[in-house]
This record gives sequence, structure tokens and C-alpha cells, in this order.
Amino acid sequence: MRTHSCKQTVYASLVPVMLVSAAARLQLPSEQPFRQQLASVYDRLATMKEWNSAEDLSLKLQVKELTNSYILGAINQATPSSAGSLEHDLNESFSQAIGHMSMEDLRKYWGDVHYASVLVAPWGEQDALVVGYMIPHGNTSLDVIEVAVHASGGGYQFVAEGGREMENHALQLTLMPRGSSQAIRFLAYGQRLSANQSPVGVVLYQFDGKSLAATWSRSDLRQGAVNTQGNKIILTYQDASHFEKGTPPYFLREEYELTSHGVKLASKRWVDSK
Amino acid sequence: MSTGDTGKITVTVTPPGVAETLSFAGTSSPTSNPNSSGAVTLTISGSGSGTITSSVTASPTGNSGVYKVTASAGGATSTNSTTIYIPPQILIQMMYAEANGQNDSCREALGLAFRNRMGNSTYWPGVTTYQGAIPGQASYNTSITTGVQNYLNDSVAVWSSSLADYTGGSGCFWSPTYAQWQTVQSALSSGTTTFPANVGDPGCYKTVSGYGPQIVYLSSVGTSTRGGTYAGAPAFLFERKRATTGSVPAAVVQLN
Repeated sequence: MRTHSCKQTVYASLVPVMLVSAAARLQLPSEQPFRQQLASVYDRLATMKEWNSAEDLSLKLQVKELTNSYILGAINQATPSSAGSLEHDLNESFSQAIGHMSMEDLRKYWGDVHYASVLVAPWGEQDALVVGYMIPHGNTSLDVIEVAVHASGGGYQFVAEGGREMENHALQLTLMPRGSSQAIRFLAYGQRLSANQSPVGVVLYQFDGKSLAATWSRSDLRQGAVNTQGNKIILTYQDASHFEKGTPPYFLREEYELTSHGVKLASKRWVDSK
Repeated sequence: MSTGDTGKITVTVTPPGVAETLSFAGTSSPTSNPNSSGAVTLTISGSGSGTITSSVTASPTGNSGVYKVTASAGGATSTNSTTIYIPPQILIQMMYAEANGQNDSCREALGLAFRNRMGNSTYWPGVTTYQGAIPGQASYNTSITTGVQNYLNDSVAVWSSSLADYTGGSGCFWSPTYAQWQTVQSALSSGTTTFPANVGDPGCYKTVSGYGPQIVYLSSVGTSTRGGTYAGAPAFLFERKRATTGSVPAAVVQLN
């Protein structure tokens, strides 16, 4: 669990989150300075040989700060008619930016980036925003998961961020029902990049107003799939030992139930396919 | 041989009636040991007269090396040498876990995919050994502690680089279901440059600049022996980075 102030542990990011003019209700900050600044940092990142060195992390932190600043700029200028429209507009902006690849000056650094999203969850008198995006670097990615709430001084601010549980994963987010504490719960899940047999990871995060904690997780589910159904999390994945033996069924299906206080395995059985 | 095996070296001492104790040079330092976390030390001992069969063991477990050993006896040194190949055991274990029941080409191709990652700091930073490359990236069966054939021979061919890369530089692989294979096959037939969706690929090279990944189909790896949803599909498909020059390359190619 980390809070926004713990910058030394933040794995900064990079950002495919360009909010473009396609979002009619959003008045966006200018893209050009942001892109130029981002490209400048990436020029330096591209020369890094030690990917986890202090300088490398420092540069990634710069990328993340640039990105967060841009995101907050967009959010705080938005005047959506409802929480739903904000979520729709932000996510549409992401897909638009990715869809027509307007970031030509950044294309030399990264390729196909699909994973960035915003979830809007009621939180007090305002909404909380769960923001997730991945920062590709080489054949890996840095995944950023943060929560922004409306600050007392006005405007949204990021107040908590997740750990590195989803690093190197194609990040996707989905809200889950709240527990007894009314904390916001959401799943982050996705395929681990560049790993043979396409393993999937999933993490349940909980935001209590101050911090964002990973409360449950599964990792490296071969050829895995994650589905949700109400308060259920359904995982289907290939069992490597059966695959080795060559005797179907090869897949396991696990169904978990979110309770007021956590996650409980409800059933586990063999299935023929995902 | 494997670090779990006991090999044999036969030495003929002449004249045949003279009892000798053999010694062997070249047991402590490998002539090469590519992409491994450590070298083994060979232990070879034998004595007798005439034709002497000596036992060969290698330790520690999991290490590797190519050794050229030469026998001596009674102050005379053999004019012949024996080359001993001991691949990283984890390579054998990976081939067994991922491709048990498949053919040699299939197992070799999996090994080649890992070999292609070595020293490629752009896409696989820090990956320089099989012991470091395989965990977390593929299954490996740790109960396989000996040189099971043909997994041993396949491993030696890959590790020693006696086998040329026929995967086209692929660094990743996966086992498609038949439904996923149908989608890939359709893209292959059409020559489309659009990467097919929902095919279960590992997502390699997706976040790098250029045209992104390309699926590589190798007919030599054969069809899956798994049955069930895998029946009729290739045992494995591979993934590499598309060329970045010229027009956009096809999303799927067949290399053999």
C-alpha cells in the first residue's frame, strides 16, 4: 500500500493517456507542450541501459508526473453533466487518442497501447476517480493505478496510488460492489506482457479515502481470463500440469465471492475451455 | 549428458596387460558455456587394463558447460578427445513441461525462442541466461533431473548453437486453441496487416515502436497432441517483432 507522497517507491509512468478534442464536454489543456515535454524525457529514457537504475526510475517518475498533471488538467476543466458522462468522455478520449494515433511525435518510443481507463465512483458529495494507465518501455510496461478525489480547495487531486502489483501487465479496471466499510473496491487485471503462454494477473484494490491497498490477488494464470458477475470474480485458466500430461480438461474455473470483508473461494472445477 | 546423468567414457590402454589409473584433463574448465548461470565440474575416474570404461558425472545440478576431455595413463596422453555437452537442466525441464509428446522441431523452437532473448537488451533487458530467462516465462518440470531423450539432444542443439534459428527471431510462443488458430489462419491466408484479436498471443512487442508484433507459424512444430480444445491447432505459434522498413508487413507469416 502506498500513498501519493511516497514518491521514492512510485513507478512512474508514461503515458498514453492523451485527452483529445473528441471529448465534446471536456475542455482540454493544450496537447503540444505536454507531448514535447514527454518526448524530451523519453529521449533520455531511450538511452538508459540499466532499466531499474535510480536515474531510470527518476525519469519514469517525471513521465508519470507529467501525465498526472495533464490528466488532472483535463478533469478539472471538465464540466460534465453527470458522473456517467465524465467517465464516458474520459474513456472515449482515451480510445480516440489511441485509435487515430495522434501522438506521431511519440510513436518512435512506443507502439500499440490500449490500456488506459477511468472509473467514476460516488464518494461523499463528489465522485472519486480511479485512473489506470500503462507506460510502455521496451517490451515491458509500467502500470499506474491511482485514485483522485475532489480536494477541499477545489479540483481533483490524486490522493492514493497502488503498488507495482500490475507492473508489466496490460491494464484493465472494473468496479466491484462495496464492502461493509463502503470503501471503493475495484479489480485491476490483464495479461502479463511478453510472457509465453499469456499469463494473466488480477488484483483487488480497496480505497478507503486515504490509501489504496491491494487486498487480494492472483498471478500468472496461464491463458487466463477474468470475468465479473455482480459480486463474483470468475477466473479461468490453463492448468500447466494437465497441459504437460496431455490429458484434458486443461482449464480450471474458480469462482470467488466478494464478501463484506474480503474474498472467498466459492467453487473450483475443471472445464473444457475458457 | 545432464547433471543428473552418469555418462561413460571408454579408454583403451595398450599394451593390454598393463594395469593403469586413468587421469583426465579438461574437466574443470569448459571450452564454452553460453548463456548459463554457472559451469559444472566433471568427475571422471577409471582404472584397470585394456579397455577401461570410466564413469562421468557433472555437478552442481543445473549448471552447464561444453568440455573437451583427454585421458592420460602411465605418462602417455590419448591422441583422441571426447567432447561432453551438458546443457542447463532448466532448458530440458522447460521442453518437457511445455512440449511433452510433441516433436523435436517443436521443442527446439521453444528453446530457440528463449535463445533469441539472450542479450537483447532492447526487448529483454537483463536476460542473459536460461536459468534467468525461463522462470515466470514458461513452465518447467523440476522433477526432470536427468537427460531425458530426445529433450536432452534438443536442448544441446539449441544451447550450443549448433542449430540455426528457424523461428525468424521469435522471442515468444503460445499454444493456441483451435478456435484461436482459425482466426490466425484466416489472417495468414488473407495477408492482412491488422493483428488479429482474441488469439491468445503473449503480447510481445506490443509496446515497442514500429509495426508491433507478428505471428509466426511453423508447420514443422506439428499439431497439438493435447486434444480437447487444442485438437487440430498447431502445438505452438510464435511471435516476433515486425520489420520496420518498407511497407507494413503482414500480421501473420509462415516460415516453414
